[in-house]
This record gives sequence, structure tokens and C-alpha cells, in this order.
Amino acid sequence: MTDHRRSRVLVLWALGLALGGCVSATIEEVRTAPALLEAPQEGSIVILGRRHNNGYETESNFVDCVGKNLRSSAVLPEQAFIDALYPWFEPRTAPLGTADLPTLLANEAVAKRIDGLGVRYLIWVDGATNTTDQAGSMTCTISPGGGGCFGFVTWARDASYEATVWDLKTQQTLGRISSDANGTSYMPAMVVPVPIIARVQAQACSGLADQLETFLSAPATETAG
Amino acid sequence: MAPRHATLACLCLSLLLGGCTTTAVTVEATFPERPVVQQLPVAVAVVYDDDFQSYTLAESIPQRGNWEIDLGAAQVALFRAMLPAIFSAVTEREALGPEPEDSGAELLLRPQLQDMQFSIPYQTRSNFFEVWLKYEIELYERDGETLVARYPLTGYGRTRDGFLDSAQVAIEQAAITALRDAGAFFAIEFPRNQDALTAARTRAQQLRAEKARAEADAEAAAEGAADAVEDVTAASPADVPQSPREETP
Repeated sequence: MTDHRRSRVLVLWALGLALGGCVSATIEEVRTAPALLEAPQEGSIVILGRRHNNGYETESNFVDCVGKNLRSSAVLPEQAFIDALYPWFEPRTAPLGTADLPTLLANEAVAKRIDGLGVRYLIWVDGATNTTDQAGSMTCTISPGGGGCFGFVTWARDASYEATVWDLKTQQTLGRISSDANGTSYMPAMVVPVPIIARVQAQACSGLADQLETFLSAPATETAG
Repeated sequence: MAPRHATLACLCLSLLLGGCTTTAVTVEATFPERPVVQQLPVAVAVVYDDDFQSYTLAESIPQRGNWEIDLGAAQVALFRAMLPAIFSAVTEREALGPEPEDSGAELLLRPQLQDMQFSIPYQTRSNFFEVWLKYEIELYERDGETLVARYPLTGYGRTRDGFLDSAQVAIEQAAITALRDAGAFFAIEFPRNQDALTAARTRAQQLRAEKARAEADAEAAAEGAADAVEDVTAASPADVPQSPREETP
């Protein structure tokens, strides 16, 4: 590949990344308890993905993403918590609602293990990112003289998640935050494919994490609507 | 140009041979060593058969080649991690048989994998690789013969089809999830069924006693019959009663 051609490819890729697909995002918050009684301590938060549903399961990378984007609180890694509490937080055995908490925490060994970990707030993330529509076609050929792709492909993705915050001490649901993002990605190809990706999952992640940040840092006297 | 042609030929050949490939998956897993469960005051001995330790599922999927999933080591690892948390003492035996006199084991457990199935996204038109496991835990009295109960156990796991993940990794992860699921079910449910287990042991002991009594009776009857035959043989032929003959018209 000549330097001229290589630089043209790089420019096209950079253009694709710079443009990005358009994403629209919506965040909603519902508080079911007045406010946090205590500010979260280091490691007192765990974010868990719901994986008991038939048609989908919350992606581990999304759960990790939300945890990393919660800047003010150190979050205990999901797998470390699930392993420490095995077998009580597997997809088939995990509590589905706060109504299941009294029975679970009545088990002394479970309560002791949770206390030992210092976990107080469980954040359940339920949802998934799906491709809702796709169109177009692309053909790639390889020959002894070289190769290339021609065509145009487009696809739409929808990321829809809901986070539910539980307080293990009061055994109450503190609130719910939903994050929806959707967008369309494009990939035109004239010899070299140039992906213009709509980062819907990343947008839903950052939106959810930002709102959780606000939710968890709300002063105890404040009552949000 | 020659090397380029050779590369292309290899590429074409590999595409043509694609349908004949075998996807080999060896499930390697570590499981939580301290499951949070109620420990029963029961010592057990566990028998892992050779078939169980080396279980491999081989299956052919049309247009997707042959698949071989080696689950043996992983399922043994699961039981080795889980059973010491449930029972007060666990010893391993190579085969089913009477426990030594000095053994404290009250029960013998023999896990058996009855069925394993898996599916790939190509088959189900979904985004998931899935694995199903069906176990049966056989529980024996310490004589190694009296079957107390067969405890059914199922496990299910799935992994989302990742863009950059290989099928091997996805199937392995689904199998690990299925193993964890089966282990979780056993660890939670088995301690809750102690009344049923006690009843099953009582029933098994009764059946064993009845069987022993029936065998003793049969033995006694056989000895009695043998004595009678000896008496008859010792007597003269004229003394032997003749069996009644049917009258023919």
C-alpha cells in the first residue's frame, strides 16, 4: 500500500469515527424511598445484571461499564460478589424483589457474608441492547491484484436498561432509573469500508451511570420527585 | 506470484473443508470454594466413575461440523468444591462398594450425568449458545448396595453470541454457567430435603430387611425341599406316591 493510499484510508476511518452515528438517549428516574439514609461507603455498592429472563440477559460488559463510570463510589466487582455469595445470586436463585430479601437475609451465613463484604446497596441492571433494523448490502472481493469492498449497510440498535436500587439494611427499593438509547449506524464502502457507528450502548451506560451518581449522592434531607 | 497462488489455494481448500472441522471445547473451570450453605452433620463418601470423570459429548451439527465438549474435569471440580460445604466430611472412592469399618461415612454418593445437550445460535435463531445438563445423584447406604434415593439435578447455562468471541469460548462459558446452576440448586435444595432423605433411608432399610428375610425364608424352604428329596431317594420305589394321571376318554 502506498503512503498516499494509506493516508487516504486513515482519513476515511478518522472521518467515520469523528462523525459517529446519531444517538438519542432518554433517562428517567423514579424514587420510591425519600432518600439515601447514609452515603455509600467504599465498596458498599454492587451492580448486578439480571440474567433470568428467557429472551435476553443483561450484558456483563454493560454492568462493568456502569460500575466504572460511577466515579464517586468504588463498586465491588459483580463476579467477586456472586462468587462470595454462591449459590444465592445465580440466575435461578437470585432474589427477584425486595420481598425475597427477608428470607434470604434470615440465613445467618448469608447475612454474615454480606456484612463481611461491607455491601449495603445492590443495584440490579435489567435490559439489553438489540439490533432492531438493518438494510443494505456490501460485497467484498479478493483477487491476486488486490481487493476491496463496495456497498452500503445500515443498522439500527436500541439499548434499553433499568437499574433498581435496593438497600439491604432497610430491605427497601430506593428507586429506579431507566436509560434508553437508540441510533442508526452506517457503513459505506468504496474499496475501504468506513464504519460510522452509533454507540448506543455506551451512551445508555454513561447516561445511567451519571444518573445513578446523582441518585446515590443525594443528601439525606432531599426528597426528589 | 507463486507464494500468493499457494496462499489462495490454501484459503480455498480451507473453505471447502470447513464443513469437516471439529470444534473441540475443554471446559476448564474453578468454582467458589466456600459456598454459603447450611452444613449437614453427615459424612459421605463420593464415587466418581471413570465415565463421569472423562465425560465428553460428541455431536455433529449439519453445516457446522463436529463438536466435542469435554466436561469431565469441570464437573468433578464442581462437586469437589461444593460437597465439602454441604457435608461434614467427604472422602472419595474409586468404585461403589462397602465402606471400610473405620470409615465414618454414613452415605455414598455417586453423581451420574444422564444427559447433556447444547445448541448454537445457528440452530435456535437466537443470540445464545446454550447448554443443558441432567444429573442424577445416587445415594447408597454404607454397604454400597442399598440404594436409598436418586436425586435429580438439572443445570442450564447460556452465553450471548459475542462479535469477537469464539464459539469455543461461548460454549465453555455456557457449560460453566450450567454447572454452577446445577451446583447452586443442589447446595440449596438438598439440605432442605432431609426429612425426605430420612424417610427414604428408613424405607430402604425396611426393604433391605424384608429382602434379607425373604432370602432367608427361601433358603430355609430350599433346604427343606432338599431334605425331602433325600428322604424320597432313600425310600423304596413302591413307597413313592404316583402322580394322578388324567383319564383319557
